[in-house]
Amino acid sequence: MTHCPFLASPTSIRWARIQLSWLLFCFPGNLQAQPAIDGYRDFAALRIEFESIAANPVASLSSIGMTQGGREIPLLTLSISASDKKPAILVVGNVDAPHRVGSELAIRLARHLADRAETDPRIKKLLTDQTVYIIPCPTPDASEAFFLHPAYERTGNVRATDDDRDGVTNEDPPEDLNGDGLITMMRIEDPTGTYIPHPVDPRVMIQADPQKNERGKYRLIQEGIDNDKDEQFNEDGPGGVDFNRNFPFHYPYFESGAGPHQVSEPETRAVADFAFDHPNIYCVLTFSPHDNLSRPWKSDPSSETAKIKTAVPQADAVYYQAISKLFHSAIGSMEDPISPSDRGSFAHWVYFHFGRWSFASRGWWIPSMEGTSGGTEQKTDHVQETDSSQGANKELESEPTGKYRSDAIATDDPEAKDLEEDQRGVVERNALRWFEREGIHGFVPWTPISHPDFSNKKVEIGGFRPFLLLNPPASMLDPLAASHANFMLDFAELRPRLAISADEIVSLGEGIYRLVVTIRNEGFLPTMSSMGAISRQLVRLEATLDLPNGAQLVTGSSRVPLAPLAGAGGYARQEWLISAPKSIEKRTARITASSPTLGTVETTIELP
Amino acid sequence: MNRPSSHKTDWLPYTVPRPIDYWIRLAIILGATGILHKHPCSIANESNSVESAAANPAAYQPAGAPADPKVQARWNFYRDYAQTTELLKQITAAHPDLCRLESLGKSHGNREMWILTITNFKTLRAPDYPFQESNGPDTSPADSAVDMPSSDIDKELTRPAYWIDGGIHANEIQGVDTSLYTAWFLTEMFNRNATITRLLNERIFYLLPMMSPDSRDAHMYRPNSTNSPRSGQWPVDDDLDGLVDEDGPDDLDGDGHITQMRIRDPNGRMKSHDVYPDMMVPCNPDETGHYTLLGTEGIDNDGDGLVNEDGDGIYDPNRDWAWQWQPRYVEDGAYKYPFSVPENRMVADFIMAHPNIAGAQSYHNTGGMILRGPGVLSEKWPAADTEVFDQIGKQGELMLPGYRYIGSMSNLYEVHGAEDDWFFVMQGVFAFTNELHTPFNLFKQESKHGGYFGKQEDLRKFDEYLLFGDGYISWHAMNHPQYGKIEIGGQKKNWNRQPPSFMLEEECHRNMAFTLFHADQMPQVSIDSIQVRNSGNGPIEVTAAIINRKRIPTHSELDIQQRITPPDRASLAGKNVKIITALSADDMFFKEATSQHRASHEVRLRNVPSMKPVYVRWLVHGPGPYTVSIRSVKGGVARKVWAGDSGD
Repeated sequence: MTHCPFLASPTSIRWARIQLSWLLFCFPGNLQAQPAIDGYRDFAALRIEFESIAANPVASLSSIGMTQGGREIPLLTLSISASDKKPAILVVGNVDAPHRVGSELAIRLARHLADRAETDPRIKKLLTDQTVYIIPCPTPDASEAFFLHPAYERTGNVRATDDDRDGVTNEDPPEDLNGDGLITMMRIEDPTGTYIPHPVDPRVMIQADPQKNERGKYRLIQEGIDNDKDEQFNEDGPGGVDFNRNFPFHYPYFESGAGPHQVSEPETRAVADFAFDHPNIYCVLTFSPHDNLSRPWKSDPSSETAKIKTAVPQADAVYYQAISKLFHSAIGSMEDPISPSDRGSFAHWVYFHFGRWSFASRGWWIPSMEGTSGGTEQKTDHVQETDSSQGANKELESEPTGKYRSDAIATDDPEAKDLEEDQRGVVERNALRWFEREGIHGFVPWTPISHPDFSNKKVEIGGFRPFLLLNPPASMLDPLAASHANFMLDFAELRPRLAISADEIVSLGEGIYRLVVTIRNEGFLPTMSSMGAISRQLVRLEATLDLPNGAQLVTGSSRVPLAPLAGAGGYARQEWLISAPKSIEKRTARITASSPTLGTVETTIELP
Repeated sequence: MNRPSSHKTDWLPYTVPRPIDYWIRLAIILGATGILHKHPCSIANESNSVESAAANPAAYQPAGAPADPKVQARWNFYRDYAQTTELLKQITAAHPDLCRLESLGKSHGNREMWILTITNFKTLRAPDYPFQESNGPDTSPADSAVDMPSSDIDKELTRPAYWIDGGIHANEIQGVDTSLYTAWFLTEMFNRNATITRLLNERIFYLLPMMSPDSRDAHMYRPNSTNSPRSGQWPVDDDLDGLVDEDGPDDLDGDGHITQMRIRDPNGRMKSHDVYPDMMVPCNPDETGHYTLLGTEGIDNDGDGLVNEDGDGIYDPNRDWAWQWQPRYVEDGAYKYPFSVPENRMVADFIMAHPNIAGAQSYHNTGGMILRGPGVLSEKWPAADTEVFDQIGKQGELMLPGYRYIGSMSNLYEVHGAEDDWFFVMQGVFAFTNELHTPFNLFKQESKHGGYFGKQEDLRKFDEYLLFGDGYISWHAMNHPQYGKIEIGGQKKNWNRQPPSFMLEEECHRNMAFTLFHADQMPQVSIDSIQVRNSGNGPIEVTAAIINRKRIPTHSELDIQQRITPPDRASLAGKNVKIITALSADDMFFKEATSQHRASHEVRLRNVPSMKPVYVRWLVHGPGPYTVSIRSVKGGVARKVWAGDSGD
């Protein structure tokens, strides 16, 4: 914090006060803000950027709530004119705390749109017809770990949690044993271990395959000591609850990092309440490892008839396919890694519970390099049952989970057995080749160290530098933001759009008229998704007839709910019988069709 | 509120302090009737005068509640929010050593969420050391509801606690009064009754008598039926038309009750009952009827063609709890997400901050049932746990004639997000839900085909002979803006689900009795024996048998599986005692023993079951005395000292 340009306004004073309380707040580890990747901005620097964006007339800055660590959760609203009354897109970044690229992309997207609001006709149209809400860092305490020392990926906020359920909290954190400012991995030579070095690239550790007569040689544990001498390592460090596992869809009860119950955290509640308080939101774009734009969600026959929906209904899967194609043309086609489990995920909650279109982009991933086969097989996204051992010991026996993020490190993909080539460690080897090409020092070489808990064994420390597998070099951020902005503009043009016309006004005699009105959806997307209709969360589309003074309906009511309209030309025809004696002078009737997610259209007709 | 010392009682002609001439008069009167020579109980035989009875007021005690309580309270009516507040304050003021009254926060309508803690605070013992050690910065759960010095909270957390609440569905009104009755009875009978006294020395009771205070007053003072409001008062757009709470029922005839509408219809399918003409019954298939029913009293307030489609609330506060929570398309009564109902969230935060809660009761109506989960059909609870529920629940049928113990709510209908499911599965608390008031109570006999509410004929009969016609409003004419000439009538809101005045106190007492029986079965750990064996060769063996003689174990099976409640801890202390290692076993011969080398002065036990001891053995150097302590989050604390061979 080197300067305070924001002390002028009440908002700024509030920001300054919060900043002070943040300084006083004691987060374990060094308070120096040094990013894991240069060019990424910490919360203090981001707030300056928010203020700067908010100086633009189309943008405004507010807060949706406060974290336990005393940080306000920022919201940027982009709109030309009255924001809450128009159909809106919500953008949420960085729902997975180590996925810091998510907040950078969300903010740069905001900057991109605000800067061009007057000059780019597509953006001008977007912000006139629609509103864009952006929550770039929904869980700022957790995502600030990117800037702490020693650096390691963790998903939890600052709530003290008893992760291993032993009655004591935060008693066994990781330690930076080799003083390099990073928490990496330890490999311990031990015949009972299950890991071996990869035959091609021995930096990469893979599981020994007994069916190939391989013998394990190493144990693999996160860097640290067994503080509480319970023969588990780093199983209960500082923090916290994982925002992206704290939502009610397919909630991972009792899992370490999921919180005491759904929506237990101030961050989760703030975002959920914001969503419910804004019925005009029709779609949410999330930056998250849960991608469904590169690989669209698929339907599942068992879910079609089930009471509780766990997969996209058939009718919506078609649209997910279509939007995915749009995404590929805007971003470029790349096979991306498999999404993590959907349990408690924000993006899934948006669709299955909140009933809105939910699109999630991973933002960036390491591209496939020649010489290593790239991604692995696609899995259906609604069932991602990874091994979630409670109070996860940071010893890797299988797929690592828990709040300590070790995404795609030293794992074995069981489905890869079907492929001819040995797929073990392919993601890691691919990453190392990419680092080499880009000149990124992304791997700490295995180096011996003496370890108090393994005094008679050979122990080496090494492994991937935290955050580098998930977050790109800063130079890539602006182009990525720009391509996502283009995707968003393309997508926004496909939204459902109402049109209304009074087709027919027939005089039946004796001052009785028959009025027929057609309400059409001229947008590509239906007026609500199939899941949206099932969810009963969206305000219905309604047609309203305003009659001139003295006229009245013969039968029926002037407010009529309409069923959801199909995309690209779906329509409803509404008929009214009106009694309007000749004596009435003003003979204009007005018909409106409206809902918060669609906006309002109206037409008038003269009663002959 | 403190009762002023100079209060007026019914039978004294003067207020206290009484003037001197009163005492002179009294002495004269008493002397005249020879009262001073006689046993007080013979007063009634000797004299009819008010003054003579005044000498020994209310000395004759009936069985049950005291006739001369510190807090005067009737139990033949239903208290609104203000009256409930008043009574809670009176009870707390009258029994300051037993009560602590606090508010968890304010409801939507700015009413307090009163929580009353009852225990004998004077006998709370301090634990020797804090139960939960921590190295982290923030150790207490956020938003802890209790504002007390931490040492007092530590003391309190060592005593097993029981949770009671009522009126989460505000129309199910007697649950509130049953909770209030319990608070009153416990405090008044302390030091009068040995069992109650023991209970208040051994347990803490947390009572939240009114879970939905806004809707409580709405039920009483706004037009409602016996079925409403079930919901709270947070506004919800029920019909998704963009307007909120715009079309609820309307009290068209202004009688304070929401009843039914009917219209004379020569082709209607309903007719009058033969015996009770106000009662509408379906015609036989070949019969012609006279009426068509038009639904609940109301009009189309918002011009969308529908009547009464969006009244106050709509969410069901008992579908808001975290376990198996599902959104509204699956579970109709769900609000936004678990604990999105703010009143519930305050309660859940309190409960999570008090892991010493080991038993719970939530009062509902109606139907005469003792219920427990699971609420979801596909869910199964371990047999060891359901056996505990069965033992206790079945016993309730004795105290509550006409009530049935039903194991698993899913036998009724599937429920997602119910309070007692969350209590048991996520907090490890054995929780029951009683549905108060049973048709059995109408005539003290089974009402065949009566279901939960009783046969309509039985209700009408009871109304005729015992309520003198007070339960119903006869059909009377009314003009309806849409339907024209109709008739309005039906059941009053204070009848059918709510016991009449003369049956309320019994319902309160019997349900309280079951609840206190349940509370008494909460775990209670003690050290049954300490044996010391010194072979002279090697370490000394100190073996303790730890037992819990209650029916509820310190950990349910589900609790053990998910490690919800920390392990129980058995510790050994002694001057100059060096502990080498420790073992624990379920059998006295240690055939299958678990050893604990780390921190072996404090042995972790995953459970102390019901009636079957857990054995802990320390291998030590150093002579006694040895002090063995057992600390259980849900089972309390106990300690025993072994001082020498003369002992056990």
